[in-house]
Amino acid sequence: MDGIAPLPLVDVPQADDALRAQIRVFLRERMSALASDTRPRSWLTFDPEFSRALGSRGWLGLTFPKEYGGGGRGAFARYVVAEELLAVGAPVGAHWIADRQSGPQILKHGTEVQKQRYVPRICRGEAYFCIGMSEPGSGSDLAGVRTRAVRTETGWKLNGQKVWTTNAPHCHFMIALVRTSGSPDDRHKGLSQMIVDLSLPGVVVRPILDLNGDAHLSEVFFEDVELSEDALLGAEGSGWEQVLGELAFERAGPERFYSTITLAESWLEWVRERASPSDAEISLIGKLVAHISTLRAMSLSVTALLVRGDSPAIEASLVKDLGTEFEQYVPDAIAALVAADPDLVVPAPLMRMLASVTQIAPSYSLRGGTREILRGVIARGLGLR
Amino acid sequence: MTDDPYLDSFQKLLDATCSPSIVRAIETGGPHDPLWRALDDSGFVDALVPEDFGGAGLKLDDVFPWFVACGSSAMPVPLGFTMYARAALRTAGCDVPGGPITLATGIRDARGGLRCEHVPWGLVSAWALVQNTGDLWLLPTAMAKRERVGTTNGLAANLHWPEDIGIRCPSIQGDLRSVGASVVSAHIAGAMVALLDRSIRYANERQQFGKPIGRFQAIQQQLSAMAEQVFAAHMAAELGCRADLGLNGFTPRPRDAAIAKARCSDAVVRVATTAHAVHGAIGITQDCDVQLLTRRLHEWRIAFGGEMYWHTWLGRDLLAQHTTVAQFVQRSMTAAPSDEVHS
Repeated sequence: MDGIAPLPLVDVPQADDALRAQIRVFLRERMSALASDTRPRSWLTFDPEFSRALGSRGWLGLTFPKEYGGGGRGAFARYVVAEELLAVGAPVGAHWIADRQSGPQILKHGTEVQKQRYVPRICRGEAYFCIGMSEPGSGSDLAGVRTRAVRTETGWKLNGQKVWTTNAPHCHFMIALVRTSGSPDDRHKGLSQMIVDLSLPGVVVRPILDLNGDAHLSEVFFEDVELSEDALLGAEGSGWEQVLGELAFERAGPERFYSTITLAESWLEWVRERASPSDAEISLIGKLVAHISTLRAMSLSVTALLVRGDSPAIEASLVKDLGTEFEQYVPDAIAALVAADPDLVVPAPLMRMLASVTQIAPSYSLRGGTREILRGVIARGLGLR
Repeated sequence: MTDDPYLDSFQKLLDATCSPSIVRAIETGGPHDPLWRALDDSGFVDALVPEDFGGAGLKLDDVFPWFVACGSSAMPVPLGFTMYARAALRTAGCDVPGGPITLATGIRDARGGLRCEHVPWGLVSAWALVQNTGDLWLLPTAMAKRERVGTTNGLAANLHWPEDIGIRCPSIQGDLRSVGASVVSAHIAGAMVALLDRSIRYANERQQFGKPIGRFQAIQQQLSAMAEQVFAAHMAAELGCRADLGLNGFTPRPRDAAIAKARCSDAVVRVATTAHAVHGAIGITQDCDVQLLTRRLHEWRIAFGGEMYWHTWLGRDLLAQHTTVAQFVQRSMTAAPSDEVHS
């Protein structure tokens, strides 16, 4: 095959797998109070107390060096923790982005001062980040960003707007992709990443309600925001390359096929409670197992490539597109089965969960790169174009 | 070239002996003995036989890429099945007959005969190793009524032995349906990889509206979606070819085989359909090699149970244990030998 070789099978190292037991004990205690129909929100639910509790147990920044407060462990340790959290729909929204990509991005491209300033706080579950990529005129066409940082005597002056930012009203910092030279016509050139303190004067954050009435999305306005010299992350003008490197982490993780797992688990629990499941229900359970097993194996394999230092951008796109297709299939299939018999008595909380997941499911193949963009990336990797 | 020297020489052997013209000749009734002799002389057929029994002692995991290569070459004889059968028969102390051996599960008819449905390579195998409930039989296909179940040139057949004949093989461990599912899944993955490769090449060559059709987004999106299915099937098939080391080196774990066959069969129609869509009219001609591969995909999807059978199998498996989907998946994917706790 041109460009992409089939993914090799890898297994989670036993030392990392061993983390599961303690996390499950912790989650059993914590999760009992949470209403089941809020669980699919998981990494959209902002709960600083929960994040700090994870931090104090050493479960944040697991892959970060110990000198910055991290766990000094491998990517698979983080994978195991992420998987356990997502599997029960834990409210991980506060630290999720910081732990997944802002921390690694700062460690990779940041100065020593930046690392010391942000990373230990991320590890303690005290510093929350959001990602500033999309703009009103620049969604899939990310290279068209217009938000601009101009050099001043003391640093940078920032003007512009970001949109669809996850949980910005609650976050302390945004890593924003901005233009530091040239114009939108210069496309990938002249872009840089900035760490923006969202408490600075001139920053206005407004929540946007989604179709379920949830307020995890937001828009962020910058008006003459004065940034210090060291707001710049990495090299000036390298923003595009830095963002691309970041996306592989964002696209291949377990959150790309676990988004609807809590719906599947709740449905399964209810199927078990009834004396005799239908053939169609049994079959769907098996289908979920076959798909998740395969997706998990693919996702682990891409993780191994990342560990090796490769940049599996195409493979990650492939996993994300397949994973989100599966996530969207789950509410579709469950709705078909609960509606197969109009006299079936289905618990209202399960139906509420199904309804909200069904409604939000289209977002799974929009966030983090749309299906159509990902398939374009894959096509290029296959040697088309 | 790969970093696996066995695979490289195996691939060379296939390139030399199993070209599309040879595949076609065998499918249209030509002799398969020369191909079989070349494969057998190479020694690859005894790869799974443990060293104590005179073989190479490779594990199922090791030969997974060979099965994939067989699938890519539209292999017209049951090489993978014979590899398993030889290992199983030798270790059980049974004599190994010459010639290709296919695998099947069968049911008894009212008169004590044995009936096997949709047996891959049923028309070109000298022997069939058949599981009927707990019993295993080695049966000569020459004594069976053979009925083709594929389309023109298909090699799958229903086999029916009206009399109670054949050699009973005691003490072979493992479940033949799982073995068949595992080996066939790897073949499916191989045929898919070859089809994707062909479809990409064709899309880059074929010109319409003044440019290669691969430049059109409509084609690109379809090929990307196809590639996703191919990669998923390949991954699932690889999962399905992990030896159950608690048993021996050549038998898969039933749950792995179930996941593999379910996922691979599930992908067949989408992959085959896209390959044909990209190739246009030329793809549905006999002369085009695409049909050699898509025909096998449809045949292999059905063999040893399709996705619905294995979905149900997996669903029952999960419901028999008090576990969540996520924990069931994590536990069954761990490579350690089966340590299942039925709580």
